[in-house]
Amino acid sequence: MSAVHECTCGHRGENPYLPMSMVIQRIVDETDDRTIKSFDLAFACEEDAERFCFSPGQFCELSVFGKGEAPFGIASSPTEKGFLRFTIKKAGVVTSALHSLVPGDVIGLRGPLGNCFPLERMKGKDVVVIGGGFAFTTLRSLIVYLLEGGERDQYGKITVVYGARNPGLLMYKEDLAAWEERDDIEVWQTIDREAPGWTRKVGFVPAVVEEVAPSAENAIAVICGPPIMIRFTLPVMTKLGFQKEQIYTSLENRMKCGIGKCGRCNVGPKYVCVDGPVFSMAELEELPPEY
Amino acid sequence: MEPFLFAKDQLSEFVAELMSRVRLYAPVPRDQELRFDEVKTPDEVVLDYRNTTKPPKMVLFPQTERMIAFAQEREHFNKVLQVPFDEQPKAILGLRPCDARSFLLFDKVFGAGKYIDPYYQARRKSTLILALACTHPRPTCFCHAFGSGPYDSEGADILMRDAGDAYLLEAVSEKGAALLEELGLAQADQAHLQKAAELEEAAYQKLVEIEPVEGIERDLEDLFESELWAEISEKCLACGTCTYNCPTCHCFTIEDRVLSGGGERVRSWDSCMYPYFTLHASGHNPRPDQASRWRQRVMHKFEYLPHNVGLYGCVGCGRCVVNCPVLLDIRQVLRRVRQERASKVES
Repeated sequence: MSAVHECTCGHRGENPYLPMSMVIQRIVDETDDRTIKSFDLAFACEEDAERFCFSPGQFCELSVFGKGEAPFGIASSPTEKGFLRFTIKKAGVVTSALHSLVPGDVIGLRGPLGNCFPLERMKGKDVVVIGGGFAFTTLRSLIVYLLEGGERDQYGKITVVYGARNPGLLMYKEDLAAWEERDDIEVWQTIDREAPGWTRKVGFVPAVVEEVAPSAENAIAVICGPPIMIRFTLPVMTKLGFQKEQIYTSLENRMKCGIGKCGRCNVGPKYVCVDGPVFSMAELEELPPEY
Repeated sequence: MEPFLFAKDQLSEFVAELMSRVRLYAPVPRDQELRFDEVKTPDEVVLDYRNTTKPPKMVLFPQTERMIAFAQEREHFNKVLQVPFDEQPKAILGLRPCDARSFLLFDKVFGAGKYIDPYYQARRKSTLILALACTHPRPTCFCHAFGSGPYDSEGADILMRDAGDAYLLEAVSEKGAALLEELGLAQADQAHLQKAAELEEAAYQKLVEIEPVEGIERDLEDLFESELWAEISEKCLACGTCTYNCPTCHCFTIEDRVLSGGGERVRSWDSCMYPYFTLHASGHNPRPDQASRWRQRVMHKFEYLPHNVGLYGCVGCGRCVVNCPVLLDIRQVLRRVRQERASKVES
């Protein structure tokens, strides 16, 4: 055993399995059923913070030491300095352990991993962001990046359709409220059924997309959500004139290493961890339905 | 350069000589089987064998390996402790050419690409491979289906050949040549070279007839939705024996363990034959049945790996054939793939 790894900076060398130490700064309940929390993390080491560089759509492996490690999309934008945000639903061993932590606790982080949303391709184009339920984490990163990256004028119209079963399950309520105040982004929030006090859209995401009808001309769409939502939204997109090459999504599969070695997250010959998680519908059409 | 030689009755002296230089792994009796393990005494090495049940991959890719450790301050583990890489000079003696070639695939997966696996790479770089050509290929052996053979030197640093009462040693790599020079063995004489050539010839005569594997990746391309996988997997018990005993299977899991006074993150061999391998926390499983898992095993070895790294995930050692409790035979599966493809093309 070598010396105690006091500080991760400069010691990680070329070991992609070695996590950096992160301090939990802030934990926020995102939904009123309290199953989804956002964790704002700060690098324990200044050098790690300076070296860490990511793009919206990428993910990290988070670990609760002694419990295990799991992959999560980065929910904050590279334009938000001083913290990294991960929004995590309590589901398995690692997420349950994460939910039991408090600010000040130290967890591990490896990354950033995987590819990102097609930011370069989006330049000069309208961007349509469609999300459902819990699958809005990296979409938040993308939207904040487009709005706050100092290059807002590089992109055309930004349209967001975000749905959840009920108002209490919509995440990032402060962000949504702030975006609604702006005139350089159009936000459509929807819930499945009428609820007291709800004044926005009611209906499933595909129906709202059809009603809002964002133009397919010179546009890129990103759709993340439960498989059933994606399945019913795609025909609507086709009707609106979107080609498979214009639509992107982000896949999730069970992962361990996150670096293309452990052999489980593949969809046909492609690894979600290194070839994804972001794929265009045209790319997915070439792959078997193994996700 | 002519090969070197040592007499078979000098094996323990040869082993002792190697042990004085490196940490030596060789086939030794362990738990009622012959296994590649660290040699404890020079006379326990067995070179007169067909093949081991478990492959020598465990030397470079241990079945369970500690990756990092955790220390505790206050109530949680919150310190990461690095585990030193195994860079101590090592050698694997007496592995078969099929097993030596298996490391070439590991090199492509763990030792190349955007990320290098440092645990594997450190062991690999510090390990010499002394392969032993195979005089008695078994009926289940099919290395020759890959264009290889029982005397293939690929992947080895030194190739040893049986020459009756002696072994001939020939350098394959520079590392191997350097070791042979240091060892100062006798040069092989004409009689032993002659005998070795005879045994080699006899070994090739023992190979069973088999169709070449080359091109199978193209046959598999359109078979993802085939009924074939359900048919093949029907009797599979999902025991994972085929993958654990496979010299090229390299899929692993990473788990944390808590021990008294500390914690550690370990990686262990895992198997695509198990439902848990791909099970999401939500309960969704992209490979929900044994048919889809069998398809993954075959596709990974014979379509995805050739496509992604240019090598098959199989060297034809036949361990999965020998050890399958329900007699599933990968050679038969590949034959069925060819048939299925042929019938698809016809229809």
